[in-house]
Amino acid sequence: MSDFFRLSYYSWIELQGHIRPALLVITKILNPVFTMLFFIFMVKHARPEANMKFLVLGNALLINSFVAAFNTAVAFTHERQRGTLSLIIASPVSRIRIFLAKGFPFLVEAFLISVLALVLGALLTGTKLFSPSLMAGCLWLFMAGVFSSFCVGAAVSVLNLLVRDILIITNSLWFVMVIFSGVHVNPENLPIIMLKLKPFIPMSHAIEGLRLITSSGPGIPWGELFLHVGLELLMGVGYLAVGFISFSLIEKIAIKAGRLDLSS
Amino acid sequence: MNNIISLICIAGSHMKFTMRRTMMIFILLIQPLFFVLLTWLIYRHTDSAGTGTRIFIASGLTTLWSGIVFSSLSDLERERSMGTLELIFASAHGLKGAVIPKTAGNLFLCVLPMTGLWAGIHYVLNRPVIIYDPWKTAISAMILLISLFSISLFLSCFFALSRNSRVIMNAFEFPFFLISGFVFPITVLPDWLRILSWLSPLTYPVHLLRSAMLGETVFLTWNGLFVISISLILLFMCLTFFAFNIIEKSTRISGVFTLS
Repeated sequence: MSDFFRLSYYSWIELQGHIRPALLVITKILNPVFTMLFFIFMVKHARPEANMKFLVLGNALLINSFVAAFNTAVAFTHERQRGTLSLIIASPVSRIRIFLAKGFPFLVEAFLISVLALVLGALLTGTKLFSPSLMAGCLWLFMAGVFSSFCVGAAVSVLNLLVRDILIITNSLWFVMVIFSGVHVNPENLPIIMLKLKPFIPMSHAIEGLRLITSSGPGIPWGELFLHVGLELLMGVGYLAVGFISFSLIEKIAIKAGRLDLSS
Repeated sequence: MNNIISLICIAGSHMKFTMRRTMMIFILLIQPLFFVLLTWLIYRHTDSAGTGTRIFIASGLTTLWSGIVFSSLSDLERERSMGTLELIFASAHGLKGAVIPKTAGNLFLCVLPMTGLWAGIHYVLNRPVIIYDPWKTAISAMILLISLFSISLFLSCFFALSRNSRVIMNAFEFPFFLISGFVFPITVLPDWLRILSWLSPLTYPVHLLRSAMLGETVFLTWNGLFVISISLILLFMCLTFFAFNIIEKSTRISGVFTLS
């Protein structure tokens, strides 16, 4: 287990450790909070009647949990750029363990940033969120959302074996999540085809859970909330499974082709 | 004359290289599409007048700024990581001679998707892009482009020197979309954020264009915004000139080409 955490630690240090504390504040706090405020005021401008509680909670989760997906995927892009991805794949250590260990610090980071952004977002927009039951509900949904985001990142990271630059894929994925999640666009305003795809988009269930608890009055419908938490976790596990299956297939193809890096 | 031709050649070859980068394809195609889709979905059931124009302004301005940030500024970061920035500095044209055509080339590339955006919003989404005052819009667009060019050149000086440019670069996107009114006017923002808006040099040329295209007077008249925008262009041009000279002098004296 200590190997797992050591690998996680090195993974985080490799990607973020060289950044100075002042720059960490800019990139990990100011930028996410401003991005969140941008989307909140964008929706408020179009729909002044929009529920501010839901906007703050939804954006805090949606914007910041993506850190887990993005950094998990990018951690392997760095390995690829430095020519060490093939060594990781060829090592006798379980690949699943390596993938999870490298992504784990970003899961923790995404959760912490989401919570911090939520607190700052609420304070800066003057939104009163701090009721114990609401916060308890949010905690469950945030954990499920961040986990799901991490799983998508792990699945996308497999594509590092197939394409040279996955940044275009990860950034496009973020756009898809922003549009489909239902934070900025009411689900009833989505075209029918998008509405049908929505349940399969990461975060959509966690966001629906947030919509539920911010519009259900003083009491939290825990049963429905845990249904959304369960669906989000299930979707995360589904994405993780897709990632591992496609990784196994790619590995088999790589063995046949005689090289691990299939795009070269 | 030879100098101008060589600068045009640098810009041309730079544009060819840039178009081969997947990130540029993302900025010029996918990001505008995202903003068009998002603003259309947000505004489609509102009674807001000039929806097509608002979608065009939002997607166009965000594309321009992202293009500038992630191309002009990341170009220097790339040169640095490849170890060629020092060679550029020592070349006959110097740092200035490389940065100016690169920035101009990137700006030209970022303007290209505008026609596609206009056609897509107008004909595919069936939201007419109605321009309130065409002459003022043409002038405002020119001023906005020159403003972006001058600000980008100024930022390039710092990005040329800093090793952390890739980290800082990301923080230049959404915060500026928010405080400069790229998608919605700054009057939507709370007072404390509006102070940052007034400090942002992008707020004035952006609202100059918004004012000409939408006919809205937000916090200053078009004439007032015009004067401030021109003043800012002159200010940034002067600052850029001085910054390039300081970099050149200090680098030659110290023999080191970095801030950090």
